[in-house]
Amino acid sequence: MIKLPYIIQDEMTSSYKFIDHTADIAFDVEAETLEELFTSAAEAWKESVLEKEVRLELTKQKKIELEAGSIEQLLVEFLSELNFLLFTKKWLYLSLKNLSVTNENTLWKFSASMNGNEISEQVLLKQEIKAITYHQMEIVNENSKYKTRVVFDI
Amino acid sequence: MKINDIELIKITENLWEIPASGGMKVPGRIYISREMLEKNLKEDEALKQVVNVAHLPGIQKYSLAMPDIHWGYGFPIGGVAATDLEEGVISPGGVGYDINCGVRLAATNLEADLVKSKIENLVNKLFDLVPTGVGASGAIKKLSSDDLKKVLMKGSAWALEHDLGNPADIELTEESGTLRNADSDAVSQRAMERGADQVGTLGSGNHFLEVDVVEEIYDAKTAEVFGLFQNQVVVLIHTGSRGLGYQVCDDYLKFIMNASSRYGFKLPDRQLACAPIQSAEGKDYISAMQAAANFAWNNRQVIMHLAKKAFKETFNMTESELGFRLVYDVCHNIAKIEKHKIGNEEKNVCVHRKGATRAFPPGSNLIPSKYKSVGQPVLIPGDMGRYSYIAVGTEKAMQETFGSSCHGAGRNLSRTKALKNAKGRNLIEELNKKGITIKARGYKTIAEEMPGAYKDVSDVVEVMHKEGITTKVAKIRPIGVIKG
Repeated sequence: MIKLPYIIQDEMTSSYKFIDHTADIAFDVEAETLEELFTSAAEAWKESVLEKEVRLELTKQKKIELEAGSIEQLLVEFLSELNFLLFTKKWLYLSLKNLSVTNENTLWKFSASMNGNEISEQVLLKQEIKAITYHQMEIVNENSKYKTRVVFDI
Repeated sequence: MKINDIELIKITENLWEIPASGGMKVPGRIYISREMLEKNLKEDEALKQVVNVAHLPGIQKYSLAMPDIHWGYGFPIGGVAATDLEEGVISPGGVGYDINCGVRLAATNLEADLVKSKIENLVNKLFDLVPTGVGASGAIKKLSSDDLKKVLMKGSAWALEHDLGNPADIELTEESGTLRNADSDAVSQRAMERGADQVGTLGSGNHFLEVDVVEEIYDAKTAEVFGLFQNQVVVLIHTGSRGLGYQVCDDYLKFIMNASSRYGFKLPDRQLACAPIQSAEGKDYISAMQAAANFAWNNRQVIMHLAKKAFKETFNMTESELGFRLVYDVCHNIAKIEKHKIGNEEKNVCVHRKGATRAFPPGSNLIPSKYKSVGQPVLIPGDMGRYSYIAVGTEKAMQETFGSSCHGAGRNLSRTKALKNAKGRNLIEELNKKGITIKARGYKTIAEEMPGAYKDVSDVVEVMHKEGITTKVAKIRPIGVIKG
């Protein structure tokens, strides 16, 4: 595995808010577009697994394409993919570009290119997320904003 | 009594019924004291989840919950539901993400004083040998795909074949550590990848390995049959199927959700997604779940072997001097095909136990011959600062709860609140003062898992004892703990 230098940044800015959950991790997220909703949910995931934000000096691009039968399932798939890449491949995404969320005949599609790289420092990982659940997840559009709750099983 | 608009009728001091209404196919029944009901269940939706589970097609008798009930995903934690094999369904949410999460108790010939004198060395040795924490890996050599498939098919027997256990260990494991209808081909490549280097690892969260001392014996005859005595040192291991099991659950939730339009079920919660037991999806899930369960049994077997090694090296003893032996291994996240009495008829049903322990009575053919005269050991861990219990299954459990009992204490505080409570305190020193040596990968885990973050497990065990579902055999208290 490659060992890379990293820089710790002080704070993260976002449109998600963690809420108290007795056993696990939960947050509410809202955004003007579905693409932004996915980006913010990914940032919340990252904050949940990293002690502090990490910036890798060298990054590589990885393309991600997913399909699902509902928008909620698509979000679960996307966050699960980030989780798998980190905990199994030790590959951390740092930023997302060219996000696209589309819906054709009940099939939801997601694509994006991710910037990231392998990490070697286990100490950076705060906790293991077992799974992204569907618990209380419902993506709604209220007052021109997409909103949902996301709960991680840890 | 009404809690969160759900009507509860008192059946006995510790048993409450939610009458069937709306789409509920059976009533709900919760084993719990009035005090725990009022204190623990007002602020979450666990009771609603008991109601939701009662909607499952083919559910038999009752949607049940044990006294450690709390809010889960789809099913409440502490939920038990049996479904008809022909008309009924299997639900991955009724098993959970950590398939065959469970508890293993090993006994030794050693007494407390000797072990306490070297407890720091022992805890350090355990911590060195058993990988803990986030993404823990590398307890044994990373398995090839072929070897991993053998683990999925054979369960604990794989460890035995690789000198990581002995035949008695296998015999004293629930199902002898192998579910026979497992199919490694039903497990995805991704799940295999997540589990390949995690055999013999504890992981993070509430998983642990503890060195305990038998503090109190309530039932001398049964304790003797279990090989337990006052002041004896024992080891308690709590973990499951690690990343492999999480991924199997994830994969099949998706698979079953995508197929669900074909079944036409109307369910109140997406996380309750289920498939008919006789459908292709249902059968595939059962095969994959059994494979993940086998992985978990093998995992706990390997951890036990590593723990034995730590004891041998710390105390410089031979195997026979040490007497390190399995008492029992139970799973508390599983679905199993078992024979139960429904009305006047004995029939096979699919029993989902989501945070509930099997608790079979004396005479059952499904428990080791060694324990047939007294019943199956039921292992109920508490928190790392207090105590855990060993109980035994009864005939009443067979009649009322599909042979099931509670599985633990359940959290009292969220992780955030626990962290706030821990601020400015030295928890390691606090535990030391109580005679407990702890080593964890990070201090945050110790803070999140601090004793005050959990309910008192004795309240939970007492409900089951008073109702005669499981009766208390012994109480054990930790002296050494390793965590993620």
